[in-house]
Amino acid sequence: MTVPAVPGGGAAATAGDEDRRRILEDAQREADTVFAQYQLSQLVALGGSLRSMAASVIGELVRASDAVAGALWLAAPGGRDLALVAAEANGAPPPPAFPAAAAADAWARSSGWYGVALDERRDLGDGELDAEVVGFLALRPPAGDSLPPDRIRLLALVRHELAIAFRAAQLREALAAEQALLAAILDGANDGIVAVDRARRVVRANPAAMALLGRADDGAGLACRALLGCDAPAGGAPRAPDAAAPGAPPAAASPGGPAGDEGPGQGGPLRCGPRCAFEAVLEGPEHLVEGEPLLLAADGTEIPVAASFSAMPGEQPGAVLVLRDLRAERAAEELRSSFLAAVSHDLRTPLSLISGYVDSLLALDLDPAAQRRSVERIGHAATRLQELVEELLELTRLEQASLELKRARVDPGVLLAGLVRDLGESPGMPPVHVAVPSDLPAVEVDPVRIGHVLGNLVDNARKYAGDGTITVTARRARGMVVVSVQDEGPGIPPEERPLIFDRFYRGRLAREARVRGSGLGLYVCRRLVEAHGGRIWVEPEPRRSAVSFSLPPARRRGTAGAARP
Amino acid sequence: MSTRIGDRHPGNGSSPAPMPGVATPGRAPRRRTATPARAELTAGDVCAFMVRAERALVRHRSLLDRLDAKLGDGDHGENMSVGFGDGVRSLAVSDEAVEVGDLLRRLGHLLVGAVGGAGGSLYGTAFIEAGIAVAGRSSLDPGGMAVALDAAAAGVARRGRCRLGDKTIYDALRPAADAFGAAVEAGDPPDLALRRAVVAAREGMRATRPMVARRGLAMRLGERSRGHQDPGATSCFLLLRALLRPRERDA
Repeated sequence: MTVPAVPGGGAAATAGDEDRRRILEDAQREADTVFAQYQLSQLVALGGSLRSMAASVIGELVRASDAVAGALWLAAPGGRDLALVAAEANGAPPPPAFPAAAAADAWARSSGWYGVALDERRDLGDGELDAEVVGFLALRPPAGDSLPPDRIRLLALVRHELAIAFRAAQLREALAAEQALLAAILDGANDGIVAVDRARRVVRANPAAMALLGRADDGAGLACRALLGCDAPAGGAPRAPDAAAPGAPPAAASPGGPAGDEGPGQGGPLRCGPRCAFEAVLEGPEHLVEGEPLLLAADGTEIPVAASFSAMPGEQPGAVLVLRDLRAERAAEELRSSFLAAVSHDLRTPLSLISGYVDSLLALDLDPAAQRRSVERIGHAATRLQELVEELLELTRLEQASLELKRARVDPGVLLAGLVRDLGESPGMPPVHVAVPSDLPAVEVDPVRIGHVLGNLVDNARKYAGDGTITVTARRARGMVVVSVQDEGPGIPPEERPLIFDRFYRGRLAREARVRGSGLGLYVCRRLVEAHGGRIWVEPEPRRSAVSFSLPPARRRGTAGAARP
Repeated sequence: MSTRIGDRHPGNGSSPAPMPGVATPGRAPRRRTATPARAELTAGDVCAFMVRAERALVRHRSLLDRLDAKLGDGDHGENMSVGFGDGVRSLAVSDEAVEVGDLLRRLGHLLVGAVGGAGGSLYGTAFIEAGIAVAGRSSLDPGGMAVALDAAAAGVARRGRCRLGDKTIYDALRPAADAFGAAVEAGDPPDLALRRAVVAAREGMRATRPMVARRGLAMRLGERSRGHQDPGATSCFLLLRALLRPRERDA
């Protein structure tokens, strides 16, 4: 630096020169420190990821201090262990971790580094200060040198600001991770979740909630009534004073009692109690479960739901509604009870037959021919029981998805003829004709399972079709081999056609005509056909009854074995 | 003195005529139309330079902001044009008669506060250091100008702790100061030496594009700072080019 010329000259002026030089140097150093502090503030003020902030702060400090290396260790919030997050090392790398700041300090002193603890100070309110160590920062001056005093001062000036900045960055990243987790939980939840703020505006609604409510948007910002369409009055409405006095009879309430008892709400779908449950949990109890309110779906059908409301305490209070769609649960319950009813009926009928014939055999002195008939009937009933048990076992295996197909490559004509022959001709039963062209492609199926399907369909045809002829045909359609079982019976009403392959479904005719059956046969058929890669359906012919199923043709020889594990 | 130089040249481009060199007492009036090679730089020239500099910064304000948006916080153009505007408005006609070094130092102290961001400290330091280096001289011969430019570059390097290749103002300023010094030493006339300095500054500015920033806010971008021209080096080039009088600009 050029020393400014001083007018005057002489010995006194020389002493003045010296003073001015010193003052100028001090001012320069001060300005350097202030500028370095400014640069650091700029770096931390921008935020960004913890790692990039740490790396740039260390880079800046190494440069500003003429150091040869620098490193930063940080402790997790509430923790004492320090882990290295950024280092600019020329030479031996700094240790990756310290158990506490004191250990870091001891290391720095013994290895020629200059270190400072970054502590975040907090005013405890009564003049007391609390300090928590956020991290440790160390710089290594050139060998044989020490850090100049103005650089040490710089570190002292910035350490608290850096502590706050790094702690904030840690918390920011923890918050972002938590938000991502929360979003994943909300988006993935099967239950509808709606969060509202104190003013009962929707803060967040997850996709399951929007699907349940039949909306395409995300609902954010809507008043809860607009989203849920509930008919409970909003806060500030005439009924609000009653709400504030629990137990008092709602004077202004409609004579019909709780809104849930009325017809479909004028205001929209969610119909729960007389008082807004959000309002209730925001004011009173922290948790509230509404007994099975009904939600009106977009198409006007009522959806039974379980609604539970919880308060969200904190700086910005709100409430959360969890809506569980009970339709599947209800359906499962109905299925279970209808299954029990069907199975117990099917078990009881042959059992009572058996015990009745046994009673007559024991009590009556029957002639040998009558005895034989009784024993034959007992035999039939026992067979029926056996079939039922087999069906139930098959069903269990199907439900557990442990079905293993023992596939073999066969010609459809040969297969069907053999299977029909095995079904046997019973006296009094209508005959079964087989009409299969010889040029069909081979299929690769489990013959026992397909025999089960065919037997079931033929058995059904016999049960419902009376004396008419039953015909089994096969054809090629859309690359598949399609097998049809036709009878001359009354057919299946069109509205029942999509249902008959469901579990435990029994057609109206079957119920009215008291035809025996568990409602499992066609369901088992469907599962078995689907396991082979095919489909089963009722042919859309109004006056005739024909059920068809398709089977994929076999792959080329050699690859067939790998077709299905 | 009530007349302020900035009043005559508000720097908004409305006055197309460049500010003429203002005569100082005891010196032959300098005429823009018949410029001989100038041998000395006076405080009046510094005032004229400030007016041209502010105009250049205002004209390129959005370019500087755009460049800064890639690497920093996007306000370098605004900071520079506002700060140099304050500088121009602070000038009085009486300033044309002061010592060059005093004027440079005064402008430097003003710029430290008037230019926002790191630019204020760095350009302010450059002006102050240049002013200290030539203190006591009423005007600068080419050698004096070389000393001032060199001191400005050294000041920026010290305050910013930057070296060549850090992607900063210094990457334009240092080559310009060196080129000017070398040209003067080789006996080039000052106008030619100044053009050489501007050419060196332009090259230095362009060379910052492939650099990875090692100072300032851009440092946090690391490798991602590559491919963007440094806004500081750009404003530095604009300031150095403003040292040329308009008809000399075709550098």
